[in-house]
Amino acid sequence: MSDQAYDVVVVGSGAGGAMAAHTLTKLGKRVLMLEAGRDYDPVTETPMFNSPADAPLRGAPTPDKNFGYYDATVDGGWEVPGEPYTMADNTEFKWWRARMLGGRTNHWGRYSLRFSHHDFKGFSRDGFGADWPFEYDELAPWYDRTEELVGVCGTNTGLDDMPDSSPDILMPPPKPRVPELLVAAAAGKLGIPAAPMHRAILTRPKDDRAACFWATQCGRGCSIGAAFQTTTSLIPMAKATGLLTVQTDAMVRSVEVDAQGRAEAVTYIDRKTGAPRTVAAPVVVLAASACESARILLNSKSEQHPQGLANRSGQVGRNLMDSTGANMSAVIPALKGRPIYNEDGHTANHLFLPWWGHDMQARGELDFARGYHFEMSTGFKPPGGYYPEKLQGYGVEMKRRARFDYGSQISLALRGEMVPNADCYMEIDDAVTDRWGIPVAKFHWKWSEQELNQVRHGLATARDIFKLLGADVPDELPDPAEAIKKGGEIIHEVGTTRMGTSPKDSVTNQWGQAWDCDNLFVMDGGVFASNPHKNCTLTIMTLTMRNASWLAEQLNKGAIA
Amino acid sequence: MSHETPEPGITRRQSLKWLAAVTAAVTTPLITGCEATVIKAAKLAGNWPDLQLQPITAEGYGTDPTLNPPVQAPWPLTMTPHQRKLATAILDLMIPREGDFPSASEAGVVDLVDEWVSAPYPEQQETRPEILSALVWFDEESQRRTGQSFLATSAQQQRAILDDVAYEEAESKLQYAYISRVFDGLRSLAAIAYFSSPEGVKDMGYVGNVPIAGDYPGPSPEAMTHLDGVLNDLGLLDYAYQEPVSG
Repeated sequence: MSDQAYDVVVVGSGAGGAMAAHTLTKLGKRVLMLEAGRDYDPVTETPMFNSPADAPLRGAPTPDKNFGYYDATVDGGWEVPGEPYTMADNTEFKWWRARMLGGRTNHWGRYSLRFSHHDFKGFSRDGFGADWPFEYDELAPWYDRTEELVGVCGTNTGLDDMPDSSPDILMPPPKPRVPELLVAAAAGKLGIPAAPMHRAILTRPKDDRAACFWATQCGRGCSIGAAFQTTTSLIPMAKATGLLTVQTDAMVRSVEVDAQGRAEAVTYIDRKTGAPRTVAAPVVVLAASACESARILLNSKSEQHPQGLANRSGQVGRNLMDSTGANMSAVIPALKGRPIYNEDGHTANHLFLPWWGHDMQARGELDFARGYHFEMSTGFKPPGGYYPEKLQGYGVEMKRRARFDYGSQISLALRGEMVPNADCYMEIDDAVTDRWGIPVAKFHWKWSEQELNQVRHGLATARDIFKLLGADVPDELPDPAEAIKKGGEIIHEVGTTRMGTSPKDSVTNQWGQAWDCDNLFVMDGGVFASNPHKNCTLTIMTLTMRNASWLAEQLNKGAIA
Repeated sequence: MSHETPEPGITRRQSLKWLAAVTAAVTTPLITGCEATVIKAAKLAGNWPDLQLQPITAEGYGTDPTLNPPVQAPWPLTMTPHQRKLATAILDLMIPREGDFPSASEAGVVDLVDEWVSAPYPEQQETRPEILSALVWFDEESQRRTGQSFLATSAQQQRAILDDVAYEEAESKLQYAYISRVFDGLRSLAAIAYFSSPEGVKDMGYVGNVPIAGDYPGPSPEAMTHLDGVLNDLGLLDYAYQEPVSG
C-alpha cells in the first residue's frame, strides 16, 4: 500500500478508537483502524432473550466466560488466552480485556455521568495527583455533542456533582422502581440525594437504533442498538463515509519512528497467520485502552526514544488508577412478599446516590480527599441465584420461602475516586512475552489510606441506610482493606499516559498529543489526569471527539505534516 | 462498566459461598481447633464417605463459544445410572411436583447436577466429590438406620433422614455438621436450576424479560401502595423521593 493510503492510523475500536475514527472520517480524513480482536456482529451474535436454562451450567461464570456464559466478551475477561500479564510481589491487579471489534463497549454498564468542575481540579483543592489541563467549561459543549451522538438517558438535577446537559440533549429516564425508591427515602433522611442515573441507553429511537424495550441484560450486548456500543453506532457510521478501513485480528506491537523520532509506521501481528506487518502511518492515534496503549509505547524503543516512545518524562505506565469498589448487601424484611411486577426496566440503575460530600470535604470533616457514589443492585431479577437468606428444609415449604424472599435483597455498590500513588503503575516485564512474541505488562499495586478511609466511610453510610430500612445489619464494619475490591476489578483503569501542561510530568498535552512526538496521539483513558468516581467511558468519548476534531484542524492547516 | 453485576443465575459468589459453607463447620461451637481438624472430626462423626475421584479432563466450551444460540455443554455426563436414580429421589424430595409445577427431575434439575459435577472447571471440580459423596452418604445412612438402601426404604424413612440434615440446627450436631452443609449447597444448586427452568420462572412469579413498546411502565399501583405502607412503617414517608425539576 502507498504511504498516502491513510491520513491517520487508529489503534483500537472501543470508546476512544471508534470515536476517533468517527470524528476524523466525518471531517474527511482517511482512517485505518487496527483492532486486535476478531470481527464481531452484534446483530446476529447477541443472545437477547436466550434463557439461562439453555446455556451450559445455567450460564454460570467460568474461567472461559468470567461474567457468565452470555456476557458479550470474546476471547477475554480477566485472562486472554496466550496473552498473560505479570504482577510484582504483593500485588494483586486484574486486567479485563476483550479481543473483539468494539472492545469493552460491547458489554459495559453504560453509566454515563459527566465529570464536574470539582473533578478537573482535584490537585488544586487537596494536593493529590494532578489537575487536568483545562476546566469543566472547556469540555461542557463537547459533552453535549457526545451525549447527543451516543444517546444518553437521564435528567438534569442541578446537583453540583452532576453538571446539567444543555436542554433537549438527554433522553427521558425510566421511572424509578420500588427498592430504589426505598433506598432514596432512607438516604434522604441522612441528607443524601438520589438522582436518575445517566446511561447510554436510548429511550427514544435514534439513527438506525431502536429505543430500549426494557428486557434482556445489557452486558450481553444489544442487537437493536438501544444500549450504546461502537459496533452498532460509531463504527458503521464511520464506515458509511467510505473513509474508514477496519483491520481486525491486528495485534499492534509497536510504533516505528523516523530519524527525527516522529512516528512513521505501526507494526502489528496478524493474529490469523502470526506474521508481523508494518503499515505506514502519517499520524498515529493510540486508543487500545490505558494499559495496552502504554504497553505499545514502552515496547516502542528506538535510538530517538530509548525509554520507550513519548516517555522522556518517565510517566508512561505511571499514575495507574482504577475506581475504588466495595459492595454491601442486606435483606430488607419489609420487601418480602411484596407485589410482583415487571421490575426489569433497563436492567441497571434507574436511581443512584451521587456524591454529596463536597461541602463536608471543604470543611475538613472527612479523612479522605475524593468522592464516591452508590449504585444499587436489587429487584425482581430473572430467577436463578436470588435467595437472599439461606434456604431451610425441603419440599413445598422450602419453595414457599424462596418465593417469599424473592426481590427483598438490596446491594449497594460503592464506586469511588482513588488518587494516584507511587506504588501503582505498570511497566514491561522483560522476561515474559505473549504468544505473539510481544513483551507483556507487569503491574504494581497498593491502595493508599485515602482509598481505605473512603471505603470505611462508605461502609458506614451503607450500614446506616440499611438500618433505616429495618435490615438486621451488624454495627461493626468490615475491615476496609478486606472490603475494597482489587485493583483493576472495577475495570476503570486510566492515567498511564496522562495529559498535562508540562512535558516534565506528563505524557501528552491537553489534546492528547505526545509532547515528544507531534504526530502521535493517545485517545483513551490513559490520558486522564485523575480518575473521578464517575465511570470513565463518557469522558473518554467526549475528550476523543474534542481532540480528534483538533487533530483534523491541524492536518487541514498543515501543522502536522 | 460498572461491570459490577454479572448475569443472574448461579453467581460466582454463590458458588464460593457454598464452598465456604462446606468448610465453615469450623464456626460450630462444638469443637475448637484448626479448620482441618474440625472438618476431619465432623467427617468421622458423620461417617462421611469422602470419595476420591479422578479429575475431569474434558474440554470446556472455550473463550468464544457461540452465544446465539448457545452451545450444549461439550463435556460428557459422568454420573452413573445409580447416582442419577439416587439424585432423582433426593432432588424430588427437595422440589416435589406441586400442582401444575413440575418436580425437580421433571424440570431438568438432575440433568443440570450431572452437567455440573461433570464440568471441567475448577469450581465444579471442587464441588463434585462433595455432591457424589453426599449421594453415597444417603445410601449408607439409610442402610445404617433401616438395613435398606435409600431407594428401597420407605418414603417416611427417606424424609426422616432429610429432616435430620435439612435445617440449620443440623449444623450444630457433629454427626450432621458435614452432610448438612453439603445438603445446603446441593439445595441451592437445585433451587437455582429449578427456578431458572421455564416452569420454575413461572412458579417464582417473574414477569419480566418481555419486550415493552414505549416507556417503561414502572411499578404497578399495588406495588406503589405497598411501598407507601413500608415507608410509613419505617418513618420515611417525609423523605419519599421527589423527581428533580428537569432543566
